[in-house]
Amino acid sequence: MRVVRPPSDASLTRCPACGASVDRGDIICTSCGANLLKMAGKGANIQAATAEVRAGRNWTRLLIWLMAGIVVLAGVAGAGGAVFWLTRDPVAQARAAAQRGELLTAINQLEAYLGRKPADGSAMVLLGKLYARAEQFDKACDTLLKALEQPNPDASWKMAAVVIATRLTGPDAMARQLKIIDRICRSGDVDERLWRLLALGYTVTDDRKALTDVLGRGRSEGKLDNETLALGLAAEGDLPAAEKQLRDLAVLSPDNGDYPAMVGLLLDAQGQSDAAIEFLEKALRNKTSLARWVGLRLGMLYLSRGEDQQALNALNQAKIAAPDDPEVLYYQAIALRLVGLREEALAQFERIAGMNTDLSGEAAAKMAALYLETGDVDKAASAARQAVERGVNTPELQVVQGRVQQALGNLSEAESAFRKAIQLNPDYPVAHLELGLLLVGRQAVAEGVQSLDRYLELVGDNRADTRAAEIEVLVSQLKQSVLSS
Amino acid sequence: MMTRENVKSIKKFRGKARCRAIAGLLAVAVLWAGVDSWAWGPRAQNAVVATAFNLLIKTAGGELGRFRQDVLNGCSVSLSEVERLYPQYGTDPVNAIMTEMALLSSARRGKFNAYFAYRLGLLGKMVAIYAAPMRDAPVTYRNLYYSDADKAIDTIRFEPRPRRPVDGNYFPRLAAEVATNNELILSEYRSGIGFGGAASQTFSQSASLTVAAILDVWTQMLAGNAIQGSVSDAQLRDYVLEGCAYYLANRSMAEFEAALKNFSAIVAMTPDLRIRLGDMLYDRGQQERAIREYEQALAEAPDRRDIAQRVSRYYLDRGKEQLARNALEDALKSLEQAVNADALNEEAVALRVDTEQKIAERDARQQAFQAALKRGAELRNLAEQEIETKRIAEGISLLAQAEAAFSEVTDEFPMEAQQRDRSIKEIRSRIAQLKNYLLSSVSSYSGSDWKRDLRAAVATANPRVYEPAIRQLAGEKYADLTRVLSSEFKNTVDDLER
Repeated sequence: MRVVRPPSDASLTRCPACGASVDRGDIICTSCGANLLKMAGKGANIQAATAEVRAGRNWTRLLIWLMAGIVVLAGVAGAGGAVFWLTRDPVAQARAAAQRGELLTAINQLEAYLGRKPADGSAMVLLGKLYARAEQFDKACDTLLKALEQPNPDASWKMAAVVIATRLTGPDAMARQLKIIDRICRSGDVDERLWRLLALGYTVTDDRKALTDVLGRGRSEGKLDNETLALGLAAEGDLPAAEKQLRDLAVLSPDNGDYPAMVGLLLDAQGQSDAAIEFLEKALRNKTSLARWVGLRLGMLYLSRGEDQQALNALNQAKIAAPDDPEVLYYQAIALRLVGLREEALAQFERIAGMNTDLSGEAAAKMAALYLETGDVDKAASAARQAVERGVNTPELQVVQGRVQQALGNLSEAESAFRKAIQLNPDYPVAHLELGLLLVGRQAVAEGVQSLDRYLELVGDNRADTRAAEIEVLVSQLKQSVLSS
Repeated sequence: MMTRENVKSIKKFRGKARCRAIAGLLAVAVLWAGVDSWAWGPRAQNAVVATAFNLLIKTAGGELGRFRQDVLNGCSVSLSEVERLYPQYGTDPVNAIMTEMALLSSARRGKFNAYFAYRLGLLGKMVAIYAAPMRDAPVTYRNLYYSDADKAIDTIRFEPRPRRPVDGNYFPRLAAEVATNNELILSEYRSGIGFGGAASQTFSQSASLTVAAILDVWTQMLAGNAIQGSVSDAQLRDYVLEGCAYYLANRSMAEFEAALKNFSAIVAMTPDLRIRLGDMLYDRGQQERAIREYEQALAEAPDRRDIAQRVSRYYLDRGKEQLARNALEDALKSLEQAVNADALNEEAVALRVDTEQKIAERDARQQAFQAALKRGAELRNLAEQEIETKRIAEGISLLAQAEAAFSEVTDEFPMEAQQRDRSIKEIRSRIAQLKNYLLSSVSSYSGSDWKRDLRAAVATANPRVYEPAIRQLAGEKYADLTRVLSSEFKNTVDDLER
């Protein structure tokens, strides 16, 4: 081991044990392993002997005196060192080392120090900061939390801990952050913003229990602002209360887009679609950061009301906010189809079907239906197969498969598919419609009319987007003309 | 014809052992049994009459030439026909000939006609029979002679003779002249010489004599020198009726009508004559023409109830026949005529009333059928209007009603039945077409609910979009706040002295 030492007397140039050459300041001989420091006396002798060899026997006395002087000096130095050792400040040393850039040394020193004095809060805080500087945020946080457990912790330590905690990374970073913040908040009087931060965090992670607790405490102590409170309440499921808070905020900040966005979404969730549309439209006008959700939901609301062009406009804005979001693309494709842009819708469904998403199977099923409309039965069959491969097993897909078989002339298979669709959902009107039409076409008029009657029964008075009125006439005509004869 | 004389002759001939070839004679007798037994054979008769006619034409002009066939028809009648007209001909042929001459002389008015020519031929035949040799000879030899003469007729040479007036001595002289060679010929036949001897040598002379006799009679008759007073109206009426019968049998009705017109100049058309003529026409299938005669007779003699009854009966029968054919209007007309002819015809009266009622009922039915046809057509039009508005079932229902309306029409009236059949056929075809359309149109509704499906997909989407939105917004706020805190407490972290 070689330790750098200040330059000393150059007389010791050979190992007293083996005579090998050594450098000045070496402690161990690299040839034989002898401790050069322990052998310093001998070394002096060696040097003296060497000097005697060189200078002759006349110098012996002088050397003795010199040796004595050295011993005295060594004793003095040793005493001084002992005093220094006994009276030095390791924290300060570490701080100094850190300031010199010797982070590791500083950390080592502090770790060693805290090993001896584990209750030194300041050292812990310093160590935490050093860990943070060394980007060891977990250790930093742990160390700071330990420091906070010490009596009379400094308030600034808490904020430091929070700030460092926010630098945590990884999949559970947020949870770890919140754990730290939660402990800090529970450690006593803290900056109110930490409560807010905690509430927001639990809102994000959807930790209902913790959120409820935080909201309770934060509200009782008046430590939460309305915005955080509203978001928390919404996350808790208290939609009316959240909506009220957000409405107030929206009034106070008329140019804000997020408040009307949230109000609109909450109203929508409560089934108040008219009011929801009003707020969602305003949110888009105010450039909300929630355009993806607002556009998507607004588009859906418009679609369900049959206002397809408005739906497409809203979904276009959602797509701008989230160009690759499968859900947005899916519903935009539906809107495209409903406004008559069949080719565009087909391309969009095809894109979704190619994605690795839950909606790809449904998109393939929709593609199949579109290909049937265009008369491309082979592509329709292929798309239907793709949907099945993606795990779709809905009555809608069964009906599409039945229509594909019907178009291919496989009427028995078609009938079987329609009946399977009815098995999957006996209340799915379209399955009864298609089965009825198929049976009538196969001259099984009585049975076909029964299915068509069931279709009309299921559709009831909600006949928008259907040809139920015509089919009712058809059924009536079949009963009058064909069945009666 | 096998007469009593023939039988006697044969018995006598058998009694004489010298008779030869009995079997042959019997055969000849049998051969001639069907022909005139005491006259020339048919060929000979035809030849002499035809020759006489040719000579007559030369002298009397070409007008008669048109009736050559009628003359030959008259010549070729059977002896029985001659005896039907003149029963005394067998016993008093001269009288019969003279009567016929007088009759024809009286009947000749204006132009010749076919029946007159026929009777001229008949007169020629009567003279030819009378002027034939061997007329009084035993029937066996006489028939053998006539048979041989018929065979040899092509070999004769006509010897013209001057015309002689037919007076009271004419026929006795003629008979004597004809009989001159009879004994010789008979003896030769008896001796087995047959026709090869005197018969053959005198054949041309005998035939020429017959031709001359015929020509003498015709010429005299046509010259109008016959005694007309001896012909009664009854004979003339018979002549007219016979003439009418001849025309009906051999000529067209137009020629009959023309001849009848001429006959009316011969004798007055009395009601009786018209009745007889009507009967004749009736028997020959000319009922309507017959009725005209009856009606004319009735008009001329209104008191003749028998005529009225006859006419009425005719119309009654016709009415019944028309009723059987359901020709009610025709029947009614006939029955009315029957009643008009004889108002006392109770059957006709009753049938007329009955027919009138049938007509009324039938008219009512026809009106009902026509109304049904009209109703069916209207229903069909309504059906088409419904179909145009895609109310197919209603259209089919109306078409079915139209078919029911058309089906009310029976087969009684051909026109209505035909219209019914055509309409029902068209309606059934249309109904079948519409049903097919209805069944085939169902496929157009397949996939019709795609919009509903798409909206349903939207409706089933998760409405809790606010949850991720809250998380996003809260996350943003969280990040903002951490940034603020980091900035604010940066020194706290970075400053190692604090």
